[in-house]
Amino acid sequence: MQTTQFLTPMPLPLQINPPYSLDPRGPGAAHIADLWWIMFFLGTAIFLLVAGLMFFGLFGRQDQSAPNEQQGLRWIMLGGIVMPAIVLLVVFGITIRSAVLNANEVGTGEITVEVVGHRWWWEVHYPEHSVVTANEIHLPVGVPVEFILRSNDVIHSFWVPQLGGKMDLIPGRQNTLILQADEAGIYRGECAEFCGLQHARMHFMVIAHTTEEFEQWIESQQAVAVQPQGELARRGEQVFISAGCVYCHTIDGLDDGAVDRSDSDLGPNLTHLASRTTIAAGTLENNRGNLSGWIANPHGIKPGVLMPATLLPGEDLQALVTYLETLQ
Amino acid sequence: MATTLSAQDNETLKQIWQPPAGILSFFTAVNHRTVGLRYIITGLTFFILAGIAALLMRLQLMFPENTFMNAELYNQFFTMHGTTMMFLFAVPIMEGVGIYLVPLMIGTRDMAFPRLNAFGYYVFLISGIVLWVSLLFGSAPDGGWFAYTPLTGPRYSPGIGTDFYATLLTFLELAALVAAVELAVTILKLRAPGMSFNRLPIFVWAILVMSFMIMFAMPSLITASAQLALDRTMGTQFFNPTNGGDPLLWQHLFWFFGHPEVYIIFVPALGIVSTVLPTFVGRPIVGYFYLVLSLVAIGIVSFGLWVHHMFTTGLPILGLSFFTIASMMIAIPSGIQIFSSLATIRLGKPVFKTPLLYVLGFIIIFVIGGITGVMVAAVPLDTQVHDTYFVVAHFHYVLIGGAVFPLFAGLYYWFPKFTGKMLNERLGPIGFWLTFIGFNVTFFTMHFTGFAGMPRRVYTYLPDLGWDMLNLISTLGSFVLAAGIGVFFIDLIFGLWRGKPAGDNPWGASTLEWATTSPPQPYNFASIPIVHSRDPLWDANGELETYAVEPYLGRRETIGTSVLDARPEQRVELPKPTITPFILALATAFTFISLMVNIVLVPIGGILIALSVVAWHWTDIEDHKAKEVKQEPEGALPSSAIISSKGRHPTFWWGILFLILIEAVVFASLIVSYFYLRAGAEEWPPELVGRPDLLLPTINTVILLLSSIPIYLADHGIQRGNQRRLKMGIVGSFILGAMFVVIKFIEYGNVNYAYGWTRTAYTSIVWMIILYHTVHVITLLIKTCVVGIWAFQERFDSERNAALQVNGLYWHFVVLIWLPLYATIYLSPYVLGSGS
Amino acid sequence: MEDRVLRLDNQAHIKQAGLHQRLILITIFLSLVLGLSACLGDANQSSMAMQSEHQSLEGGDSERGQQLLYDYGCGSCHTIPGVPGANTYVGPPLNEWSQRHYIAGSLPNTPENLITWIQNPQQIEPGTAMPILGVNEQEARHMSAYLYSLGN
Repeated sequence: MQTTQFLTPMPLPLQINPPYSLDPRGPGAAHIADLWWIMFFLGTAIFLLVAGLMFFGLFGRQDQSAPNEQQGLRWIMLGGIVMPAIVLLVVFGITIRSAVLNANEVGTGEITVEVVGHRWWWEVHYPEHSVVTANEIHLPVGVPVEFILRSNDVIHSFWVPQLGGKMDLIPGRQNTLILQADEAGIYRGECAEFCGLQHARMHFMVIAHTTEEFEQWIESQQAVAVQPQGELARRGEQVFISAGCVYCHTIDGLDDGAVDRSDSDLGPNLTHLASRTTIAAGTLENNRGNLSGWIANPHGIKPGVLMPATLLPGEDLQALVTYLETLQ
Repeated sequence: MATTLSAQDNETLKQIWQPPAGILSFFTAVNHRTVGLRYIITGLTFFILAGIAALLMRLQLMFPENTFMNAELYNQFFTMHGTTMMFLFAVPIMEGVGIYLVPLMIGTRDMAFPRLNAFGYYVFLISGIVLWVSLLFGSAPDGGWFAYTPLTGPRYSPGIGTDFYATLLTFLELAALVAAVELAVTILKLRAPGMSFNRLPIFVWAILVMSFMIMFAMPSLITASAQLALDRTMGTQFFNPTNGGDPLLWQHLFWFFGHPEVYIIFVPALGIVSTVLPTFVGRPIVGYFYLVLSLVAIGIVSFGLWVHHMFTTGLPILGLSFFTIASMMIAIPSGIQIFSSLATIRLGKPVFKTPLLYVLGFIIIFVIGGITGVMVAAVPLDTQVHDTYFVVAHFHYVLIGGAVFPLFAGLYYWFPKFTGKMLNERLGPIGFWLTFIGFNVTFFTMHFTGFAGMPRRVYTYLPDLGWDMLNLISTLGSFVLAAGIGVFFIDLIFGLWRGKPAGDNPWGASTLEWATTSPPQPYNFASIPIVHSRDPLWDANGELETYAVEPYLGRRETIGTSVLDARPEQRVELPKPTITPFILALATAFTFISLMVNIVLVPIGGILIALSVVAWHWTDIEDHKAKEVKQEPEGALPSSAIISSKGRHPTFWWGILFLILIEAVVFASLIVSYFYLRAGAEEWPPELVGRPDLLLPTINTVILLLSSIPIYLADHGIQRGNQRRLKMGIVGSFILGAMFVVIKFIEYGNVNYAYGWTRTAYTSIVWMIILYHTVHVITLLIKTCVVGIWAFQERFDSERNAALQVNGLYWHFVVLIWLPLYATIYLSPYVLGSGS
Repeated sequence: MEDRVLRLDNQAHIKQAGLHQRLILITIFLSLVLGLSACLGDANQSSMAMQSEHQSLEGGDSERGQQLLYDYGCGSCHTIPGVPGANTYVGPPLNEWSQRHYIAGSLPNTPENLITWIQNPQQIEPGTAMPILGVNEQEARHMSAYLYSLGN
């Protein structure tokens, strides 16, 4: 992996930026923002010209000579044909230039991240590191990352506005997208293609770190879960198995009696749930309160989500949450 | 040779054209002005409904995490909003304005096929009502107006909601297509004497271009929505990736229709602008030829842009840049339209009446929409703004600015003609300014919302992402916009109630519709005007020269003229009021709804349709028995009725020609589907199914080809008056056609195809193509039966044989179209090998 | 990852969005010109206005409380007017809180009891499903201040 030691240490604390695509933090989004500003000024100029001509026509003084058709045809020739033709050539040129620049600068990905779209969450794999997570993608700063995008059900679209354009996840196909973050930070991602009932709550977070921190993170994610300390947490582990959570959620290292999950619509892998910033695909901050409410009834928060409500005695719920919080 | 009618003939004319009265008249009226107004009023009603849906959505988005509406309802609302605005408002209302105005503008008495016209309206009305009733029952479609598969497939949208969408859309397109066909035929064949193409009003040009666009675009949607309906109800696999289907096939077919669709709405709107503007600046539009050329160019180029809706689907970048340049190119003809308007304003003397305000509003808003349109055509930028509120802003600028503003201009402009009453000039500007300001506040803000990262089609959003204020502003703006539109409707109602009476030509306009009374007489023109220039009323100096059509046959007639230079050619018979269009529409609706409810009912629907068609033509035949005895006076134009037409091609020959065009596009989209699925398949045909047998189909193809010969001989024979050859030929071709159908059924009994059409996408597409073609051959056989009966009654002779010509034309088409289908299904697996 | 690092700081978002806000100033201006923003209100807005008057609880800032109720995820179980996303019914809805007489069906609804309950529900009612969220006394005071502003 490419090292990027020359980068300054990550500023703390990290802040989640609003997903503002004109506030780019990566070369992909930066080139597009540049393209936009050029087009914006060209467009504004043309608009002012047209509006000006309209008001001139409405309120300007009439020529004393008889109005002639020839003058009008000249307007059409110059304004309707010549001007758009020139402007379009320029715009087409800068469009192509922007695409080429971006391709050159980003080049090929040095890390591969596979993203699989589900209704309504994101499964994330690091095939080179054997790491699986969900709704949260960690990247090293300054390194181009190749995203392999697939879908298991309907069409979704992977979009991190501050890093670059979007790309669809289409069942039966595989798309790739190369993104690079130039600054450490947390960037919001969205599903941009309507994918059904909870399309609105299908977010994710992209967390860019320094290379060292990224490697630390990878290492921590490679570990499997160990038997939790404390009575309550151990009880929670049992609840996790007995309440049926295991039928959709994997926890690597948990002795769940080799449950067969091949037939169900799988939920996210929870091996390192407690290390994630959010739950419910970027909808809620990952804290005790939200986790409890989410487990008790996810449909109050994300109506129609495929996860069922779980009716647990209060103590079991406490135990389960305590257990899940040990999954660092 | 100018002629006018005698006073007595005038009386007869009034009697003949007496509109139907009583309660039943709602179901029997066929007159183009009645139907046109119904289209407009129904369209405006759907506009209000979809507008209310939009307001409710804006209320939901007013605050983050708002609970005004749940996700289920919101998704149904935005689906219904889009579907309604596109399919139940924009296209029908533009067609409605065309149906009302085109016959008046070209100086004729009705559309070429008034009954078909009425039929189209009922189809539109029924499908609109059923779609909205589904919302009342909480099972409206919720997959978006674009209905991307596989989300809308049987697995991910199991309820009946999407069935409503897939089935009713297919049904609804019938209405759009019949309107397009008859508008085109009307414009080509019924223009007033002397109205050659270079004298055609711009609006009529626009409607002509729109009609051809509909004929080319809609079949692709029909194919796609039929495939979706089959996937959902019959279990075919067109869009299911696990069985060889491809979700992107839907996107290609949908956008091949969907992009031109925007211009289908926009082109007639341009026509309205270029009609309204000259009247209020008091001079002809500048650059007529450029305008016409650019309308045609828009029509053509708009078919090369569909992929720009798919820039983020991962298609190869080289292909995408082609679509970038094509999408940007369309700015040139649009630029011509805008600068023609600017030049006309500059060279004229503007009079600030409400219609002009809306035209000026159009220029401002549409230019912004056009500029953002060029932006989204750039692939890199599009990957950022695609499916965000930026795009929502863009296309509302294009559609509201480019279509609704011109439409309102047109409604203000023609309201006096429609109703005989003037609208209020004080209320008009208030409505305009509220609409204009409200619109810009709502939608200009959305450009920012898009850059702030808010995706489309979300029922709610998290707080503190920088979207809260933007959404609040948009919601507030939308209520101002709604208030403006409310004022507009109040103005319309108030005008109907107590508007000042309008004269024939209150604005001093130049086109022929203003030569009639306001509102026009049932027959529009007592004598058909003769046209010598592009602005007949400005150049006529008072009196229009006219051409009389004496009502000596006692039936509704108008003049048919030649296509290019509009020389009088024939007397075109027009039907009396009749209930048959309504009955046929009901029967067709029954069939389509059966598709959703229970497939067993479909054959019953088929029988009902057949019976309605018989009833439809029954009156024709009865009429003719009575009429044929009457003597035609010396020098009268030859008549063009369904059986006894003589001379030039009758209007229905043209109708069939356009039907063939539509059918050809449907078949083409089926072939494209086949090869598109093939390109994405690993193995084609799948091992499991194997290559098709060649022997039987090849023999069958030869039989079908041979069947064209007797039909040709029959046509040829009757033109020389040979009745025997006619009868022999018809019988011969009927037998060969029937053999083809029988052998097809035998072939499909074979084990090779027993896998059924639900097995893989391959079997689905092969079955669909073959079934669809076989249905055509069966239709052909039924038609030939009817013509055969007439032939054996010896109703045809060397001059009166138009029905035969039409039948022959369609026969040859069905035979010839089989050749590419045969090559695709049977030969391509051998020639091209088994897949990529 | 430390908690502190990943805490969603919502106030910080707003400051970050400065550039963005400058851009929208134009549109805000437009809507002000229309003078319509004043005419249209909603429950969300009016409760915001109300709460500032109701800082009845000593040392409790109801505005901060509202933010804390959001940050701690109380809305995942309770319906709380004015807290975004708090529309669920896992636990009892907290609308009209100041009209309530008992907390958890046993404890009289006084500010002090509420503050204790928020901090440690398990102590008052062992086995309750309401988790201990690690709210400190001051934070609980703010939250209580907000809750008592409801139903006044």
